[in-house]
Amino acid sequence: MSNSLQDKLLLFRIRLQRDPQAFGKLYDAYVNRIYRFVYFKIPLVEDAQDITSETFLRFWNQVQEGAPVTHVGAYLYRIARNLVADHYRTRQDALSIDAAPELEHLLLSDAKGLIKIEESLDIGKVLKALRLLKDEYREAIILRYVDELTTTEIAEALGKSPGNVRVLLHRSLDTLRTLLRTAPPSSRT
Amino acid sequence: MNSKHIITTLSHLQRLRIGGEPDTSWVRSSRAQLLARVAEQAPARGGARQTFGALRGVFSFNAATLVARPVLAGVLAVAAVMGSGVGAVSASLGSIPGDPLYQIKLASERARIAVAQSATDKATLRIEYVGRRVDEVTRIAGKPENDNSARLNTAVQHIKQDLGSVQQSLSDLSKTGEPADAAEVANLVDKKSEEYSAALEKTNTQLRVPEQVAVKEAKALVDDISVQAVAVLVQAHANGAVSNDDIAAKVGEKIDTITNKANLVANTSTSTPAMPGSETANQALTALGAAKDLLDQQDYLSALTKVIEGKELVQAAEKIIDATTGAAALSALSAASSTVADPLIVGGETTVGITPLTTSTTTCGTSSCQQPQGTSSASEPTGVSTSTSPSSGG
Repeated sequence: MSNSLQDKLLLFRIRLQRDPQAFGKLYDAYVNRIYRFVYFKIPLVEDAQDITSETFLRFWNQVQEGAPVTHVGAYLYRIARNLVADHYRTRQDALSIDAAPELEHLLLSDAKGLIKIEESLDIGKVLKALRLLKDEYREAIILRYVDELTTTEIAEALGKSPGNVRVLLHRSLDTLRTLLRTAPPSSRT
Repeated sequence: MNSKHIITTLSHLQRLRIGGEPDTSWVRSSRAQLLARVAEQAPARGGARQTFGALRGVFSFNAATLVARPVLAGVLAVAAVMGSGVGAVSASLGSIPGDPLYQIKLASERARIAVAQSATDKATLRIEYVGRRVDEVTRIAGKPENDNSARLNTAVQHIKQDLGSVQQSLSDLSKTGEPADAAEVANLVDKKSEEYSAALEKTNTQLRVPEQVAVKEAKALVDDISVQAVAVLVQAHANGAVSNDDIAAKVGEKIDTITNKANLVANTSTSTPAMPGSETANQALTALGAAKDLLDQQDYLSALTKVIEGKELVQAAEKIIDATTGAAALSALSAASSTVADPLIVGGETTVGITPLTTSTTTCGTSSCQQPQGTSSASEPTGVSTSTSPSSGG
C-alpha cells in the first residue's frame, strides 16, 4: 500500500471538512482492493457489491465520529471483514466463512485462463492448498501476498499486534508449503 | 515448491485479476451514490483547535522514525497545516534560504495551500507567502556576511514563483470565480503588493549593485501584480461587485502611486546631465495624466490601460537609469577591488548579471529605449525582459 501521506491528507479533509471529493479519491484508490477482498469471501456478485459500498459508507460515518484511523486501507479491510462476518451471521442459508467458495469462484470465473496459468505458475496447486488452510491463515496470506498490505496494516485489519501477524504469516506460509509438498502430483490437471 | 515460489504465485492472483475485478459501471454508480449520500452532511470548517483535534485522530507522529524518512518535510508540512506547532515546523518559520529548515518551511506552505478549501483561501495564502519571501530578502540583506548573493537569488526566485501563482489565482478567479470573491482577493493583493514593493525598495538600498538587479526585478513583478489586482477590480466593478466610489478611489490611488514614481525617476534622470531616461519618464507622466482625465470621465478601463502604459514606461526609464548608474558603479567597484578576487568581477569586466547592463548602455540610446508603450520590448535596455503586461487580466 502506498501513498499513505496522501491518504492522511484526504482523511484529514474528510474528518474536518467533510469533503466528498476527498472521500471520492479514497474510494477510487481502494474500491478495487476492497471489492476483491469481499469477492473472495462472498459468492454472489450483488452481495459483494453491497458490502463494498457499505464498507465505504461506514468508513465515512466512523471517521466523522472520530474513530482513530491509522491506516486507511487497513481500516477499510477491517470494516469489510466485519461486514462479511455479519453477512454470514445473518444469512443462515449461506456457507460459513471457512467454506467460502473463493477458489471455485476463481476457477469458474476464468477457467480457460486459469488452465494456462496452472501450466506455468502452479497456481492451481496453490489455490487448492489455500482452500485447505483455516480461514485465519488464508486471510493473512491473501492480505499479505495478494493485496500486499504491510504487517502493520494487516494487524490493524485483523485486530492483532504486528508481532502476532508476523507469527501468523510465518505459520500460514509454513502450513501452505507443507500442504504443497504433500499434495499429489496429479493435482495439476 | 519453496516459499519464494509460493509468494510469487500468490502475487499473480492480483496481477492476473482472476475474478476479483469489479464491474466498472457498478464502480461508477456506487461512487456517485456514496458521494451523494455523504454530500448531504453539511461541510464544517474548523478553527485551529478543531484542526488539531482532527489531526490527533489522523496522524500518529513518531519523530524518531520520521526523521529517517525522506518524507519528513512533507509530513511536517502537513503538521504545519494543522497549526500544531510541531517543533521543526515552528522552528522553520524563521528560516531563510540556505538554512537547513528552509525546505520544511516551503513544504509546509505548499501543504497549507494544498488543503485550502477554496480558490480564495489559496490565493490569500499565496500572497501571504510572497510576504514571507520579501521578509527573507530583508533579513538576508541585513546579515553581516560578505556574500549573500546565493541566498538572495534563491529568495528572489521564490518570490517570482509565488507571484506567478498569485497571478494565476487572480486570473482564475476573475474568469471563473464569483466577482465578489475576485474583488476581495484583488483588494488584498493590491494592499499587500504595495507593502511588499515598499519593503523591497527600502531593502535595495542596503545591497550591492549586482544584488540590486535581482531585487529590482522582483519589485517590478510585485508592481505588476498590484496593477493586475486593480484590473480585476475594474472587471468586478463592471460585474457590479465593486461600487463606483471604490473603483474610482482604487484607480486614483494607483495613478497617484505610479505618478509619484514617475516624478522621482524624471527628477533623477534630469538631475544628471545627459542622463538618459528623462524622456521616457516624461512619457510616463503624460500617460498618467491621460489616465486621470479618463478617471474623471469614469472610464475606468481606459484609465487603467493608461496606468499600465505609465507603469511600463516608468519601469523602462528606471532600467535606463540603472544601466547607466550601474555601469558606472561597477566600474568603480572593479577598480577598487582589483586586488581582491570577487566572483562577480573578473579582470575588470562584469560577469554574472552585469553584462546585460553594460551592453545595454552601448546599444540602447535614448531614442531606442523609449518605445515600450505598455508592452515588453526586445530592446529593453537591461536585457531583463519586462514582465507580462497585466492588461489581459482586465
